[in-house]
Amino acid sequence: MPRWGMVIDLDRCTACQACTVACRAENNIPFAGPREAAMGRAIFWNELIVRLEGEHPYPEIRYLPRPCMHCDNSPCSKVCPVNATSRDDEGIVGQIPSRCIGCRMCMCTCPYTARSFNWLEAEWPSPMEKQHNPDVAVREKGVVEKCLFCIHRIRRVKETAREEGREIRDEDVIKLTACCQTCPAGARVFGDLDDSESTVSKMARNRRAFSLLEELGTHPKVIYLRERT
Amino acid sequence: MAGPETQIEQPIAFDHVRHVTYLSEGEHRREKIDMHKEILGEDEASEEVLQGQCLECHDDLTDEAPDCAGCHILFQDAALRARKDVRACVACHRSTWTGYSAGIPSVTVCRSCHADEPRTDSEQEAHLREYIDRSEDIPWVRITEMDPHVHTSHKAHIRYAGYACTQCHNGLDQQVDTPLDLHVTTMEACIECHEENNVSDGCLTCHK
Amino acid sequence: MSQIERDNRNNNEISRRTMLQFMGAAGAWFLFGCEQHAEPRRVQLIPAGWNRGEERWVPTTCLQCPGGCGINVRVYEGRAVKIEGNPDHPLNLGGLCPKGQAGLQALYDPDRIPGPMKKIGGRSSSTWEAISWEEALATVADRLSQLRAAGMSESLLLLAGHLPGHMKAMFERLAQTYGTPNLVSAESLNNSVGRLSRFLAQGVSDLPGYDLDNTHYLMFFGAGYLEAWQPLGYTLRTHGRSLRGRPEKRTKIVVVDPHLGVGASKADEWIPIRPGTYAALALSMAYVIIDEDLYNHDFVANHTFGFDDWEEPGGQTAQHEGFRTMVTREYRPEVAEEITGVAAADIRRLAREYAKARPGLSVAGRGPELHTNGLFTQMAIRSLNALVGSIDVPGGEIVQQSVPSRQWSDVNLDDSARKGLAQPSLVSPALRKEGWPSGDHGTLLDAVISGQPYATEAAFVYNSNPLFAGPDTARYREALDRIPFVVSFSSFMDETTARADLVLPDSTFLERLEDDFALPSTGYPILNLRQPVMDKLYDTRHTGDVLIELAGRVGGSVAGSFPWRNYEQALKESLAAVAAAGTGSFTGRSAGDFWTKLKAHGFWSGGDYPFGDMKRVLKTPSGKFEFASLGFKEHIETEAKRTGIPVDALLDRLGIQARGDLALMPHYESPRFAGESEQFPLHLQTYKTMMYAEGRGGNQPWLQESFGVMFSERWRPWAEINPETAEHLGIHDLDLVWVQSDRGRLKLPAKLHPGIRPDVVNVPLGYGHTEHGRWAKGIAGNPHDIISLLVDPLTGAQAIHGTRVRVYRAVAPGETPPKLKGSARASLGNGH
Repeated sequence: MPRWGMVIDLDRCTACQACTVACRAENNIPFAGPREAAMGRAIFWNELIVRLEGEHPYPEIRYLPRPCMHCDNSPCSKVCPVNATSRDDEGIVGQIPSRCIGCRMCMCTCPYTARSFNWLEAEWPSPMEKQHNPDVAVREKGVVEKCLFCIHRIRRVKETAREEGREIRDEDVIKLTACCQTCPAGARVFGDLDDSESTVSKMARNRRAFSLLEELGTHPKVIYLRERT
Repeated sequence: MAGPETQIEQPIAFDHVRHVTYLSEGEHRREKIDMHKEILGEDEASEEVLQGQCLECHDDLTDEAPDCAGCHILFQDAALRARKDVRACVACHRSTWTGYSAGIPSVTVCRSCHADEPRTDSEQEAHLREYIDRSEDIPWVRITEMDPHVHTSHKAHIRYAGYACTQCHNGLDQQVDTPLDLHVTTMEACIECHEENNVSDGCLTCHK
Repeated sequence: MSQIERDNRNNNEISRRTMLQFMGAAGAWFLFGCEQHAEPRRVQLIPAGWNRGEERWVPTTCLQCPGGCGINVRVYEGRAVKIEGNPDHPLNLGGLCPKGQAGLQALYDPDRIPGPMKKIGGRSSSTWEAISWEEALATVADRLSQLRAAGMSESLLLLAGHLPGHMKAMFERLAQTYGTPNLVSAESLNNSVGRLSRFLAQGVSDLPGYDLDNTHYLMFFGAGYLEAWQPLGYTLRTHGRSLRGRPEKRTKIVVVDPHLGVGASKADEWIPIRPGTYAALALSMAYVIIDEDLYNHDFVANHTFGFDDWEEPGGQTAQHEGFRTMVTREYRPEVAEEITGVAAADIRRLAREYAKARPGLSVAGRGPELHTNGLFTQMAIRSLNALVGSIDVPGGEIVQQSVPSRQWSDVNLDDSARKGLAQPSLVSPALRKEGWPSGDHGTLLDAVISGQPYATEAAFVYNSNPLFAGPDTARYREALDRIPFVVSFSSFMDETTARADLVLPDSTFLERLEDDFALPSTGYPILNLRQPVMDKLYDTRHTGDVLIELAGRVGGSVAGSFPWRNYEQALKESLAAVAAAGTGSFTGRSAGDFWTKLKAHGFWSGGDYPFGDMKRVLKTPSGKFEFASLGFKEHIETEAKRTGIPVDALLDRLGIQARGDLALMPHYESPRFAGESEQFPLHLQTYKTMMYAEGRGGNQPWLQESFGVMFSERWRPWAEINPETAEHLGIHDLDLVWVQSDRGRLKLPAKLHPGIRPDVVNVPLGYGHTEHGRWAKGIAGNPHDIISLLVDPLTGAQAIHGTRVRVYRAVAPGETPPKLKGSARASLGNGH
């Protein structure tokens, strides 16, 4: 049984935000518009977090693309009163829109601010609804949503493997998620953290590797590789 | 609010029994064998024709030619041909074998058989031919409802699990005409069957 | 199941089973909610030829920018639902930038023009009436025929932006056979300085390509690396490779720019150079490289001219000063430090690093060319590549090979055509010469507005929006209003189209069949195919088809030169030659087979690039890289003879400070700026972010919502100000400020940015739309509205970075400035 995880190499990352937009395209994420975005209501399952540090002429800009961490010890799934979010056997922390009652307890407990709330009824002025991905639900107002490691694509890969009578291979999944696939600089990789020979596992053993907020004990499954050497 | 009592009127009164019979009782097979014999000017049909091995002669069988190819490309798959319980359904509901969706046929599918001379003098067929002539998809109304948040894979059930269509869509193959009863599939029904058969009951198996 | 997971399960207040029982009791309908199933749902209609649940992947080429990345589009039941990079395409190898990912928002833009329309009520009206294609084509053809019959075919202006593939040849053909010398393309106008600088040194007027897959040192002067430097997809990919893709080598990246953009923030070093002084830095590096004997002796000796002092060709005795002598005398690092603000020690260090990293690349991008001294600056930057021999070697600068397609048959020119073509072109009456860029915006605008040497009676606008993108938006508007008949082919109601008389809308790039040639990049040719991924959404037509139809209606020799049924036929004819070449990423048994394969792959690429073929890449009079440009010398001398103006006076008129031999070589001239430095103490610069998409990204919400990556700004522009300068001016982060030039002012939120020089203000391009759709309209802030009309007389290029400004808070002192809420919170992005 695979344990799905992701590695993001911050050295390769060009801060282009392709991952952010690809994710929105793949997952039918509505846009908020200028007013709502200014209130912080724009929904990003993958967000590029930026920190500006330093003084002229030596500024340091740090870019961190942040999807859901799919923590092995996820705080969010512990507090959901209706089991709209829970972690499955393969380590994916799911989010079921039709169960969510919009209490947003999960958003309070997530230390990574990886979760978003649908404050608004999504607007898809015709003919924009034609671009909806049929494999992903279109959420309604009042529910929480977040990155699902493109579970719908994992499903397909499993089906294809089954059809061909074989196991899932590393090359099937290395660029499985929309963000990993689109990254122009090849900075993101997906795969089975329990397979020691998989690309993600090898990269996660790199000496540049770190995770966010490790001290909280969430056991996030997104591993970053520091910039430079 | 819809409930089990809701009756659905379809744009065309589609006779499932007639179509299923045509395909599963040998009528289609006999018709096409005769057609090949006539075209080829032969008294006996060849093995390839009898076994439905179209590719042996038609090596240009592609999706571009929707008529016979639309169905027969799929039917090159021996596993499908062996499934007497579903193959008549899959002939039109093609994506139930190859993918997730219900495969409610597009007008392209109807055209594969109804493009030439009318087969009957029924009003329904005449109405169908209007759609075909305009290349316009028929606005069918969904009678098996499921929440749009839910993913279900027909392929997984029919092809991998080996179920017959009628196991969930009971009696549909016996439906002669409209109105049809609306059938709302509940999570309870899915979960029960999944638990009984020890298949995955993780949320993300079904929820998009 | 792990212990953690078991704990989780037990800890849940309500188990799944309990939940089901609860729901079961309440009835199955509870799950769905009443509204959703008020009545049974119709099954979605799908286009003919599709089956339910069917999906196909169609390979095609993106056009969100001219970069030319290959894409695969997922089409589900006849509608495009996702765009991915094509893993086989050599530029992007499967990756795709955010603009590419947002391509569906161009296709499904709710404000697209659905069919031909004509303007009712005059130029300023915004009332349009839908008309048939028949009426539209007849109207245009009639007007064209009238002008021609009246002997005024030169009064047709063809104004085009990026011309994909054979659309360039199409427009050229129309211009020639119809009889107008006035085909103006963005390619030539916007990059005129870059092209000319290369032409003078190398005799090649294509922009350079760079072998980024194999280089070891990248020194950018300006350029907007990782944000707008083309080809972008190729650059993003090779960035990852340059840093981590080759275990044995990591490319060092240095960015020289007054502004720290994304590229500079990811680079190893950022050099905040004084505006407009790049040439001094480059030449000072040349000084060090020469002085410390680090230059490539072999290349310099065999393939350059003018490095050493030289004699007049033809054996005359006049002795000319060469590059080495000049640089050694003029550009000591200490001198350059004074000019540029870059420490002499750094100049020495960078020069050594660059020269020792064989191959290294010195890149002249957007920025250096946007000053009045742009031409010589670009030459200076390029000369570094010649010094170290990074010309046509792996990891160096290359000249992109053309796709070996066939020219169509020769055109037939009748008397009308010949008469029209003999008229002077509106773009460059003074500088017409083969190989020189085809002119500049300023000359064009002067000619159209003044009506000299002749009036412009009609204009076609294709893939271009000068009333927004400028430069000089106000004058473009004035010019357009002088033209009585303006036809736009745009799919979107942009600013220029809104002021046209007639729209014959093109289909979007996802709905068209056409070819495109990749920008200079890999060196070997790449032929990109664009093909419709689904049925057209609206009643639009490919402009290529429209031009063929119009030519047919005009008749005579014009029609005779457009013998095809449609654009597809014309393309196939031309691309048959590629099939016949029998090489490349795939071959075809026949032209038809090749075409089928091209549609299956989405692109064709040529064989390996022939590095080192100097005859192909150095086409100057001397056949060598010219540190001293003989071509320029000849041109000035010819012009002096022709006009009777002495050479020095001529140079003066062309705004060139240098005299004698210096004027033939790369050198530093102090840039001129518009606006008095006392009144306007800061320099205004502009840049293109990743999301700019040639200005067309304005109505694509996904691009707008992620617009300003560095500041997490969304849906609006800003003015970047150095924190010290801001403090001095009493400006806090996010205060609204006026940025004022001698032409006007803009109100923008200030962003305090440690990555900008104290004397520079930087504003991103892309906002200030007055048209272009519901989301684009009304967000103020188009820098082109306030950029001064300073022009480099030699090239005619507008010095876009030559504007000085002052910045001040948008409220009176003592008042609390209104803060725009939420931008700080917006960086968290999800409602916290």
